[in-house]
Amino acid sequence: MNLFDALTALLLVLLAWRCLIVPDLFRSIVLFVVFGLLLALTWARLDAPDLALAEAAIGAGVLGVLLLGTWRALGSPRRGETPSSSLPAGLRVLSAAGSAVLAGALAYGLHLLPGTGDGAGTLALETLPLPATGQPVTAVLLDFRSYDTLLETAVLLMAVVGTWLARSPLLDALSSEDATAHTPVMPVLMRLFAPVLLVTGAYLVWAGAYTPGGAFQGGAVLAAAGVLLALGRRLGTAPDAGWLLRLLLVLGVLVFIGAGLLLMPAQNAFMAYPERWAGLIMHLVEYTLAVSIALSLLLLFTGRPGLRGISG
Amino acid sequence: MMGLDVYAIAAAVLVGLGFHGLITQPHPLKRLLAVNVVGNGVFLALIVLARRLPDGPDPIPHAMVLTGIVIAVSATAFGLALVRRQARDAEERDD
Repeated sequence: MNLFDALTALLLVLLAWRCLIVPDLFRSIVLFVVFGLLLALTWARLDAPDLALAEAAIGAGVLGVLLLGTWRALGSPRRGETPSSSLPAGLRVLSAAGSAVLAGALAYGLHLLPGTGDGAGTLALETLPLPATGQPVTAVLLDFRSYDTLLETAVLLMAVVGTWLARSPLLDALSSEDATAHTPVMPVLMRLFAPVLLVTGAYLVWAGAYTPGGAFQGGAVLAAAGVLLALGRRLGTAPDAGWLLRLLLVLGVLVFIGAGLLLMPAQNAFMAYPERWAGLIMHLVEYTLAVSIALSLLLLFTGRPGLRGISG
Repeated sequence: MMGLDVYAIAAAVLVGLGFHGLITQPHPLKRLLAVNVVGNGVFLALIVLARRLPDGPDPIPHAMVLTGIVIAVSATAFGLALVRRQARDAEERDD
């Protein structure tokens, strides 16, 4: 354990503490985004480059845009200083003491847990068709624990539907008062970054089979390109989704379930892939998932079912 | 058994901090941030455990945390939509 780790851990805690304690909402959000970026650095340090990519793209990037956009969309009386706690002092002390006990118990428990060598991880590393993908995390996501990944994408779709139902589209709220589209910086940023983002996103999806990367990281970068275009008024909202958009939204889940169901007679189990085709199926699922994830994340930002291009 | 792992302590403190924030902060957006801090603490704990496998990091907690990050963002995005809706309704009531 060296100085770098100690400093990173200390900074993580300090940032989280400041983020929750400062009264100014804007500063709180900025601190949270910085916390996310530092967390991405921590994942890279802890031998988890897949997570570092995902955290930087989804945790700090997409979530940061959503948080700042929501801050902007809140009316001015609500976005400034947040009131300090309305709880009586006694209850606050009680909550602090309870949280401290919880943290202490967790630290103690984590310290006591032994590092065993016969967990599910060893089993996964031994049994997965690694030659087909070569990347253990992608293989675990798309084969070993495919139920998790399938349900996760379903949760993402549910969140999109929930956002539509809340009827508070973020992009429309921003355009009513926002002047970013008219600054001279925006067209240049779009021309420079949108193509780079699209290529980077596509590369990350492709790379997921061999090196860190994958449908979620790549999809988030692709969604970021969409968010940039939407902020620059090249992509607008529409009240209704066309059939093509709806199909692309559910395509990943459909292909995932379809691959699992179609091979059931041959394999006698849902989502069991024959060894010869495992690599091909995982690639197919990964690419279609990336399209659906990118669209879902973009629609979480725009907040309305439809998208339309705006020629400028 | 490795000695005292600073990341394990940081994970525990993050969970505690976030939990306290969730209880005491009145603003809904701040509460969402607090829930995310708790989540990130749990992720950190999982990744610390993943390193204890002797032959390379355990891919299962990594995949679980990747799933968790996406779910956390989906849930937070939905929460933010509700926060915006609540603010809009409150404004309409005031007018």
